[in-house]
Amino acid sequence: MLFNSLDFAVFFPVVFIIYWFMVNRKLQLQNLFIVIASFVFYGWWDWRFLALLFSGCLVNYIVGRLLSTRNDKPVRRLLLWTAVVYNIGLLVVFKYLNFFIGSFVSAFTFFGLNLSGSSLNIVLPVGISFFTFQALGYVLEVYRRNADAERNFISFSAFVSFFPLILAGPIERATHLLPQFSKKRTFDYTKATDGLRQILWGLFKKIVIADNCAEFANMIFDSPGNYSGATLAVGALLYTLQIYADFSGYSDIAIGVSRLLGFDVIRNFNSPYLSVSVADFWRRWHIALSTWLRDYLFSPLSIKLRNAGTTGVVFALFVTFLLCGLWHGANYTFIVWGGLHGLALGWDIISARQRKKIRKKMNPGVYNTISWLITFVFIVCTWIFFRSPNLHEAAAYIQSMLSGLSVKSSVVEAFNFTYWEIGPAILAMIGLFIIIELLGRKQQHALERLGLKWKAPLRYVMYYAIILAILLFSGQEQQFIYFQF
Amino acid sequence: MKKFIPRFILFILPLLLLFVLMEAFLRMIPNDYLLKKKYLDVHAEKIQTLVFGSSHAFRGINPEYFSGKTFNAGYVSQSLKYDYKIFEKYKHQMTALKTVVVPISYFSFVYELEHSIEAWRTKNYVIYYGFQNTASFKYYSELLSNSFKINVTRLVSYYIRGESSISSDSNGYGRLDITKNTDLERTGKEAAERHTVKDQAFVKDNCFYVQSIIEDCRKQGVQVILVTLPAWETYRVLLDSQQLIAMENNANNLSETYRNCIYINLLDDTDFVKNDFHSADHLNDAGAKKLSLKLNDIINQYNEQR
Repeated sequence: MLFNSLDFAVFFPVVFIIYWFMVNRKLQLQNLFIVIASFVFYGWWDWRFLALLFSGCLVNYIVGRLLSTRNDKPVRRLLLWTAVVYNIGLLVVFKYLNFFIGSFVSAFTFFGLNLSGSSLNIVLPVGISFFTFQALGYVLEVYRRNADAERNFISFSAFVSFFPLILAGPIERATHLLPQFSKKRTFDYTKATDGLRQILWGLFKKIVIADNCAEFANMIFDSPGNYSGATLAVGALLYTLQIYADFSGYSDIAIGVSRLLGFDVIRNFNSPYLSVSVADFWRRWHIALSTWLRDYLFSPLSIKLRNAGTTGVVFALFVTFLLCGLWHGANYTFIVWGGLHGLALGWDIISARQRKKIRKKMNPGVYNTISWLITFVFIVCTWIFFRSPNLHEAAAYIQSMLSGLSVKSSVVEAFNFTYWEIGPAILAMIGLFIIIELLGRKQQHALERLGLKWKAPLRYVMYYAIILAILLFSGQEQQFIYFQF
Repeated sequence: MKKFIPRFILFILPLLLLFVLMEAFLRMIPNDYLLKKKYLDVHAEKIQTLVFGSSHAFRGINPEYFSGKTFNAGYVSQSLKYDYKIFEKYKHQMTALKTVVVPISYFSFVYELEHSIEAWRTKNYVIYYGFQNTASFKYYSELLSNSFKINVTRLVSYYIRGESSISSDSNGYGRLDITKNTDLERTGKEAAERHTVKDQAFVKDNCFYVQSIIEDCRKQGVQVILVTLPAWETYRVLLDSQQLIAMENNANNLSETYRNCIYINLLDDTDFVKNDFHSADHLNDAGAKKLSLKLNDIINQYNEQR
């Protein structure tokens, strides 16, 4: 079930009414209802994978319970590895098996040995990367004794399968979300109305910005040979906008829906395209994943490599981001994308002293502007790898883009494409989106404070205008990009 | 919550009102489905020849050139499922019926409206014909079946510009806008690509629908003509041979099984020349006249033999 679908428009009000009016007396009943609603929500896509979700809840719950009762290190370590193998094993089987078989066969072919490998017809369960990481994070926190093992299976299942987050996060922490299932939820008017505003803005981002940018980005990325360098740059910029509006829009809706149900969910985006370094970007982009990787992968790895000093840290970063790339999908394009970010982060550490010296000599405003520009161009270029179907096409895209950027006819073609194909209406919407995002950059979401001090009728006009834009600019229901991960 | 619910209702009330008004006004726009349904409601007992099918037949078979009372119940993107449903709805009223023409296009057996890019048209069969067994509730509403922009455009087009959305004449035939340019190369390539489907999921159901029409007709002593309509070579040469053979085999099997059924394949009939086509897979008025006269001869011949 997509958040931007009619199915969800019916599903959620029904859930909301039952949740607050019919099962609100008993906490466990409310949690059980969340589990049922979440399984319906997940099963709407493919009911066959409900068993997978249930087993994920059960295995991690049992491991957590056993960890809480055992103090001997070898047994605790064995239990931890059981959960790691189970959760990562699910990902390997459903997400990476075909990729590994294909890569293995290709490697042998490269060395002149012909192996015949048949790929398996495996359907990727949506959200598997998200709910397995959320469950695994819980086991890791219990293992580290940062969180208590959840005693109640229903509360734990509600935490793992919580429908607003199950398909594309934010990947929540056991220390933050799980305790909320043990506390009585009371309806908070301010929180609920803010949740509605966040949902509205999320829908605007997804339907008006992401889906419309996708139409033209797809046009360019599907046949890059038909376009000159400057138009390819426009395509890369459109995809940069699309992926942000799509994923942050999804996160806004997920967080807003959670708030309507009385839950606080961690922020996932913080104006990432205003970053002045790649490290800054990863503090602002997909925050839930980057902090997960920092806490459960990078930190243990860099501690293990601490004797190697800076080299060890850089190596740990590189490995973390290679795996971050792989997490996004079974394709070399994602691995290269992650690898490039890993290298850039390594460079951030290695060049820290030199950059500090330069910074002292320069006007801070100029320095920050240059840093922002370099970071932004790097991010845009790396998205080309993320979007392209293979490395060859990504490299060809970048090559054509760079070679044609300074050609006058190419710039004219890009201008014509932007003005005539995309059109002033969508460009105006993109402009409006950027302005509102900039105005609300210091808030949890762009609409958090916008118009709150205005008189009610004027504020309502703003909300209706956003709704009208959503209705007028909506086309066919489009899936969220991060569902495929 | 006491504050939230009333305020929320107050907020969405204007939107709900807008939606209800739009839905009502959209439903009041005269359309081909309603026109055809009303015709069948009133004149079903007079119809001697009933024509079904998608746009190929809607714009390719003109009842005007048939000697008996003929009605074209086909429409753009209409699948065999809806041919069957329309027949089921009116079969007992059609007491004068002698012949049913079921066009079998290259895609007919592998195509189902609700699972195609034209799925939004399903709402017309739900709202105007009253066929209610559809999977999605959105097809019960004009507003939900199309994008808001398209709905606004339709309202403006009819209520402000006074433009009609009716494209069929009083016999159900779809008259073409002859001012439109055609490019037989391009339309042939595009249509062949669009109509080639590897998925065989709907073959069984579609065979069942045609079989049911033939079976019901047999009980009423009605002849069924399965016909594959002519198409221009730029379309024909790009068709997938396997899908084409499967289509022909299915149609031949049905005509061999039932005595009241014949199959005529006019796909590459050389009587139809370039000037008879509006696009590579659609006849124009001249082509429709030629085809209709041909079908009328076949029907008359059969009736004389009977």
